[in-house]
Amino acid sequence: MGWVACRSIENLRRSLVLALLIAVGVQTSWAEDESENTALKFAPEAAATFNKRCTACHTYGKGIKVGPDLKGVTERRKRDWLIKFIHASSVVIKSGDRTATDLFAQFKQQRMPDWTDLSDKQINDILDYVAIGGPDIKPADERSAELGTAADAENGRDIFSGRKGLKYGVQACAACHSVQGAVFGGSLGPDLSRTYFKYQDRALTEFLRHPCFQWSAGTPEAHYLTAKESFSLKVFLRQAALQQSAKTDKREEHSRSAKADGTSGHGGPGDAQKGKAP
Amino acid sequence: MRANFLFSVWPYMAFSLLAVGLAIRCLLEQKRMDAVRAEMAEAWSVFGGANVWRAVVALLLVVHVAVLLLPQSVLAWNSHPLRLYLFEAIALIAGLAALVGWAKLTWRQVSHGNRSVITELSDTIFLALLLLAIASGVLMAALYRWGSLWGALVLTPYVASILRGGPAPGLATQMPFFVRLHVFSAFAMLAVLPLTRLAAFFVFALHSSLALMGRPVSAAVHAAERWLRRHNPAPWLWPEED
Repeated sequence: MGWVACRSIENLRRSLVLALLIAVGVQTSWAEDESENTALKFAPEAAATFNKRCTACHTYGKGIKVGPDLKGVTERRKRDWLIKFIHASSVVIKSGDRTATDLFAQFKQQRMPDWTDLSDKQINDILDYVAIGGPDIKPADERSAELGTAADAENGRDIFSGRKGLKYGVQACAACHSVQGAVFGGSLGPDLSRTYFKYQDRALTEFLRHPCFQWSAGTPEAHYLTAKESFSLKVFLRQAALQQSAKTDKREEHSRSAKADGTSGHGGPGDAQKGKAP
Repeated sequence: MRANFLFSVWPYMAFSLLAVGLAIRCLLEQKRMDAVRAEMAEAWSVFGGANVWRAVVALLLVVHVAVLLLPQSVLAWNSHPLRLYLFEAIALIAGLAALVGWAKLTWRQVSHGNRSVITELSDTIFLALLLLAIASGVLMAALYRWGSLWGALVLTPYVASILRGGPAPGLATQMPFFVRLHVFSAFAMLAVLPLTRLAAFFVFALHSSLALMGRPVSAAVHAAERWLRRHNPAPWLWPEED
């Protein structure tokens, strides 16, 4: 029994560590991409530290976990108090601070670890990140391609064809792929004219986050596309898929109408002249 | 498992067979350079072919060496679509011309007299592998467009990984069949080379370069001998008894 409990605790711990590592990695790359051109700027390290140290016990807008929900914490408490508490909660509780002792009592006398290794600047950065709703900021590539503009589609076409270089030096899609009627690319990989409809927005976002091919001898590249590049590609692929399906619809409609003309007008008076028409 | 053997073990086996084969031929034919020269002339008459064949083979070699040694320059050149189309078109035309050249060469090989069964067999195997390499290259260029782009991105790192001693077979095994066939036949050609008449060129080159490298050593030995003759200590050590 004890052994089973130990095993499950060990498994739980492993899963938590794994989830934490993934969250740190993803959040760091989002933050880098976000910082490219968004108005909401935060230090990528702050996001990484938040994910590494806070999310194990706190949620952001999802209620109490081990400690309180951190959404709006910068409005509920004063910045000086937060810095002191995060730095050494034990000292603040021992000092008899009313808020600290209340929290201590409310959360089953479980004290927050003293993050003495964090500087005031690091804590301030984390608080800034929380204050601007950092944990809620979605990376740019998760936006639906429907929201993309013509400029995004054009940017996507340039990225696809290689007219515009990619930030991390990855080769353009056209080295191996084509998009019918838009980019005369390679044929090693499949034609991507209808990929947007095949994968749909969300799956395509996931797909574009990883290299589709092993390029180098070592481990797969840590950086592939930025969120903005990925979004532009999605917009371009959506546009291409729409154009393709419009063409197919037109062709089908044309063949349907030709068939209808053929059956309805069979043996009609105008048939001889129709046959002569170029 | 098989793919792993073909793309991580086989290349080293091919290099070893090439090195050992050439070394053995060098040792065996060390004192028979006239015979090697005669064999070179024979090989030239069999494999030399017409001027077009030689030009095409040289062009294809240059293209392959450029993709393998200067991948970044090739990628930069190919960054303009027109230059890319030109590069690919030239390579494809050269490949097709090489196929025609190969047919002529094989006809000559069939009609040419020969010395031994082993050389005859090795030459035939070498020509068969050459056909595989050229045909798979032409099919690659025709079916999987922009080989100069993805070749520089995937096959160059693969060859580099082989040369560095840490093969990455995954780079080759993920490619279509014709690409894998092209890579395999290239290594197989290296393995068979020492048994063919073409090896005479390499034996001659190795012998000449060894002789060239050995020249300073033999010059030093001669100088030492001359000095010893002039300053021979023997009369001083053992004076002649009168």
